Amino acid sequence: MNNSWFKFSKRLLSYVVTLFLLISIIFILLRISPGDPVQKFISPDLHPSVAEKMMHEFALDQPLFVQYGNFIKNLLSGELGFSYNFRQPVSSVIGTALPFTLLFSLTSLIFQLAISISLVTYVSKRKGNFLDKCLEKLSLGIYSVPTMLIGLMLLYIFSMKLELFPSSDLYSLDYPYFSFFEKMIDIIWHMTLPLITLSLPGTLIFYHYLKSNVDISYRKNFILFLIANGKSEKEIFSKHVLPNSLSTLISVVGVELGILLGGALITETIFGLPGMGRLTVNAILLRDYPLVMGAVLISGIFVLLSNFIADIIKINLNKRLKAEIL
Amino acid sequence: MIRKFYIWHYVVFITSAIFILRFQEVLNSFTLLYYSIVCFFTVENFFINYYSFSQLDQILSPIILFAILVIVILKRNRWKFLSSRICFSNAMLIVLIFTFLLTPLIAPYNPNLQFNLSVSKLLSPFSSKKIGLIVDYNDDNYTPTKIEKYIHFKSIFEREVVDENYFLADSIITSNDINIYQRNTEITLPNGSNLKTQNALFIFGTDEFGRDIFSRLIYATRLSLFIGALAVGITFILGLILGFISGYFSKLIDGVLNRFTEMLVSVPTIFLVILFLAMFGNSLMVVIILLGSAGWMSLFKIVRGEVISIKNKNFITSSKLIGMSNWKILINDFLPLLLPSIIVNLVFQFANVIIAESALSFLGLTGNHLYPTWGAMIHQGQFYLEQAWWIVLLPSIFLISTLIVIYDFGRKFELKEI
Amino acid sequence: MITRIKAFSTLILLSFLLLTCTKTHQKSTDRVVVGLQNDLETLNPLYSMSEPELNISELIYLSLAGHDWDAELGTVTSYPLLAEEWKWNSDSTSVSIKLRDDVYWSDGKKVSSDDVVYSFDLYSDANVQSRFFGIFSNYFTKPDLSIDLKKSFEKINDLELKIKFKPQSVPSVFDFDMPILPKHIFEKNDRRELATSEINVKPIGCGPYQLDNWTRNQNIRLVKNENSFLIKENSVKEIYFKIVPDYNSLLNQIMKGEIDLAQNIRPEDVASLKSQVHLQISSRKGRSYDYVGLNNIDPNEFQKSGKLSPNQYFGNAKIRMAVSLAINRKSILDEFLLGNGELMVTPISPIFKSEIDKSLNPIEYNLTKSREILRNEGWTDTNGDGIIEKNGKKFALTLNVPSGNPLRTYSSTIVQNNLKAVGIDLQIATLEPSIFFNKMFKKEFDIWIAGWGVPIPLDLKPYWHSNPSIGGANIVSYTNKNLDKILEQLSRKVSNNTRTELLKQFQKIIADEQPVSFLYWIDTIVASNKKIQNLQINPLGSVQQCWNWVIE
Repeated sequence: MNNSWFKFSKRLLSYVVTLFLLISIIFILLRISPGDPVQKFISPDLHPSVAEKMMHEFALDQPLFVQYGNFIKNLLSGELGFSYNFRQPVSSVIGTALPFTLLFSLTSLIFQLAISISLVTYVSKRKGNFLDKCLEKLSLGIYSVPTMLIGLMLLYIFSMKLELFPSSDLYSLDYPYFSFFEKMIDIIWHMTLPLITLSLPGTLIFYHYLKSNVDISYRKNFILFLIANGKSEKEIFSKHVLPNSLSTLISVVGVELGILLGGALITETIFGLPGMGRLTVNAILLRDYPLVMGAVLISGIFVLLSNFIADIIKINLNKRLKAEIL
Repeated sequence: MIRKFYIWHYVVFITSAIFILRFQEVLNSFTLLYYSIVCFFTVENFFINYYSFSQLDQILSPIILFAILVIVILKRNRWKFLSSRICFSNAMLIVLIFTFLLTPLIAPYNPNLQFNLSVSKLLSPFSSKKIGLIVDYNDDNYTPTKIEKYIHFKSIFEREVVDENYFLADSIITSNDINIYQRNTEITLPNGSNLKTQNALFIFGTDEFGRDIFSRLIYATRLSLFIGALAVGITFILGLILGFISGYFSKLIDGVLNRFTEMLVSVPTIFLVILFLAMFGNSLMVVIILLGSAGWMSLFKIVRGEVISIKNKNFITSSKLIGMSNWKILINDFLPLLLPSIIVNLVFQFANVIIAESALSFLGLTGNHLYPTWGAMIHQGQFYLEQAWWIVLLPSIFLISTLIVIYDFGRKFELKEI
Repeated sequence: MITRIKAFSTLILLSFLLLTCTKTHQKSTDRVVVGLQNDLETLNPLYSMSEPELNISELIYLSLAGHDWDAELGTVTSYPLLAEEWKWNSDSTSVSIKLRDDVYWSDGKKVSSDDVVYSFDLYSDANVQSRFFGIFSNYFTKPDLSIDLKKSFEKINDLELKIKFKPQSVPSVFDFDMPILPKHIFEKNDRRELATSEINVKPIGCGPYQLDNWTRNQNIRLVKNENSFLIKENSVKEIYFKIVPDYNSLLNQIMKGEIDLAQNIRPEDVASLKSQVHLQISSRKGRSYDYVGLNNIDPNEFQKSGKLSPNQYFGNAKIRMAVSLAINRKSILDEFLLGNGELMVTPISPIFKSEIDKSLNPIEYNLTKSREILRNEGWTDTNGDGIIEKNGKKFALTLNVPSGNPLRTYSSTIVQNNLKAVGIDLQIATLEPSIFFNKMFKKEFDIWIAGWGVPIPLDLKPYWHSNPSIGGANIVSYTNKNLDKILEQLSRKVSNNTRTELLKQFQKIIADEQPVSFLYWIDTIVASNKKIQNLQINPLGSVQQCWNWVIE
């Protein structure tokens, strides 16, 4: 037991080191890249010294080392700094975008898992039926369509032509006047198209992985033994086949969650959703350094966290993998 | 019924079709070749002053065309691929290869040729207009020199600009005077002008600048595939070498490289990519290097895993003992064993790069290259989605088909090795 | 499993049914929804820079005077707002201002002349870093450019004050039309911290509208201030600024009637918007223009030693004229802007009807003439590669364009094509705006496409004076001593006739010398819902005098 805790904390430490390296590299990259955040203060309407004052206020005229030191000092005390563009603490700016991204990603993940598991369950009961063949042919085709095209297509068909769904934003205009139930419905209505866009490739991957794993599991000997013993089909599937096949799926899920949390950038851009992806990209383009650092840090934390949780779940499902992972 | 045909039937069919449809261009390029050779020997400093590499492209195309025809007919029984049956992936693959190699021949116009906007803006597919070409009158006594003939032919071939001598019109009526109708304006040329009229067919329509979409699509295919291939090349080198180093040498290096890779994987790649694009500009080279460097992680893991499992085998140890350098060991011993899994990984990586490149161009981050890519065309077309949906649809079809082909072949390779 | 699917789908069906039931009501009728593409950064007039920020902060904080646009004459007239009246003295060096008696801050305190003095103190204080810092050249200022309060302001009583200006200056209403800030609120903060204080997002104002709620990146809700003298019984109750970064969804919402007012509509959408019965399309003309910048000096020399030596391509005015002749502006105007603009002759906007010289015509599109000029200047194509050369040097350059502006991206392609026809080879380089403007102001480009917004009232000196400290926006470093003299004379007190004469000379010089290649004036297209009465859409803005808006 001691041994495993030791390895556990070693893993944790390596994650922290990774994060630290990550932020440092991004920090240096941002500072040495051309273009600076005070650009918009240089214009014929404004006095030239305004730009200089801004540089000083952002502490950008001090040497790199000093800036880095300040940043790390602030970070350790929990303060992420002030966003240049929003004139607000970075934590509150991220706080407006993060809940949405979390909600969106988790919902998408649950959606993907639910659909793929249900599909696999359905298909493996009746082997070789129409849905099976259909999915095999189609999945390749649908998977090949890049996210942006799916998004554009859905937008065009359902929003512009058929006018069934709204084309952007999270809420309708009268949102504050809605009752709680109506608010829920409103959000669901707005999220439908983006959710489909985001989840489609993931669902297909999950389905593909899970199905091949299930097929492999079915061929194993112990399943034959269980069938010979007369266990029902349903029980074999849910109690034996499925748990054994889930391990690969879990690691894919871990990676997928990381990607989703990365902001699902394209979906957010097409549908105009207020999430982390757009926030970070805009911050990079506007050279809003504190915001970029904060956003990358948070994204990094979540990705590593999701990988870590995926690992733990895998170990709990199958104790044999403990040695391999830890 | 289509299944009855073999690939080589299909190749021969396409080659002949191109030859017949583009007969004029083939003839032109041979004339150009003749003049270049003549000028090379007669005019001094021809190579430096007058020659440019785009001509090489145009001159080579018909040569490649005939070469393909000859090779396929000769090797149709030898090469297994050529005698397999047609399916969607095979057919699309052949189309892509042809588009990549024979670009100047297939594309009717220069992809950057902007026709007169009033006539050619946002035309729908299969629109047909008239081209007017005013040819300068040559004095009968004046025989042009070889070099002038060369220049003349080159300018016909590489029509890059539309000006007052070469223009597009809705209709040209020749009675006493020549009347040219360009939407709302009517231009009248006196009877003596030497005006030649041609038909211009825009198979896939035009975009908002009046450029032919079919030509742009052909060149975009070439550029997108080129970017993909180079980026995958970079990925291959990076993944192979780093994986080899990590698996073959000491544990310390292995640990460091592993952590490094993990760190890179944990960052949503797209942010790093955008950051680098913002930093280093968005020229073609930067994009290729960036795309190549973003995907080597999975190859790294595969190579490392395989190297670790093989490195203690006997034949490796014996190579080491006879004093082969590490580099030679990698190439001669490891590589043949790693190749199947590497190829599978690289094929999927190729698809990823193409998707990534089109996503980046779609977001507008890769800037203006001389020739467009699929993503760039979709990016430009998205603003005209309501009026001219074909600008987005056609590159998307090519993009999706290419991806389907890649995935199909990737899976076939994967299954072959298992 | 099947039952699960059935239950799930019935739940969804039920939700949609409920949704359609509840969608019909809840449309608040006494509200105007304005669509914005970017969120604001601040509601504090000290830092408001973009147009929406200025519009909204002026609704929350009142200015002493407001402005009206006279379209006939092309001039600006002022009307009293916070100030009930103002009187200039005989030689216009000081003005007596009487404030209204019935204006209160939203926390109940009355607006007094102390607030006015304090506001100008903040605006000009270097520690505050306001956007207005350093522009109070008509006031008595201390060496650090802040206003010398004792010399400039004389408080007569709580509602009256006098402002004294520097002798020999030409003050006008524009010198004191800034929004007034509450002294008792702002003085609680350290001046250096004002940029990040809470006041920026929770303002205390005295204007006709108050901030009700600001959800970042989503919306800003203003409600009418019943106590304001500007608000009448039927003034619009609520102005709701909805932030929609995606242009297509903005357009969609305008068509569906979810957004009532939005600017910067793209020309190609005008036709489909006009077909909607409830919409009205207006144009704000002549506030911004695009141009092709031709650097008059050699950028490399300038970077190295700061020396001004003529640019080997564009240092010659004839070459610049040749470039202007070769660009087919009309085709861009007709095909991209769809006529929503005007061909440009000089940087004096056509809206200033009394000041432009109507006898000058835009440069024609004439390729033959352009080629002739280039040939006469020694540029010919000797080797048949389509690019002209002179003394072995090719006329091949990089055209720099900032990204994110569809018009400039479009026109760059057309310009490249046009110039190719006369033998000038351009490679287009699209740069990110922050990098682009950085380099542009450092004068590193040879040729680029950019634009300017022009101020009202007319201000030409910063753009065309050759002295870099005066002409900070003269990026091409155009130098003409006569022009400098004209500009200096214009900034002094001159009679109207002299002014017209000077402006005529200015325009002639610019038209002949073509310091840059002017492209076109761009109309800002505004879409509005016909249900809003008393909208004022003119060159000054579209979200103005909102207290007059009435919904029918």
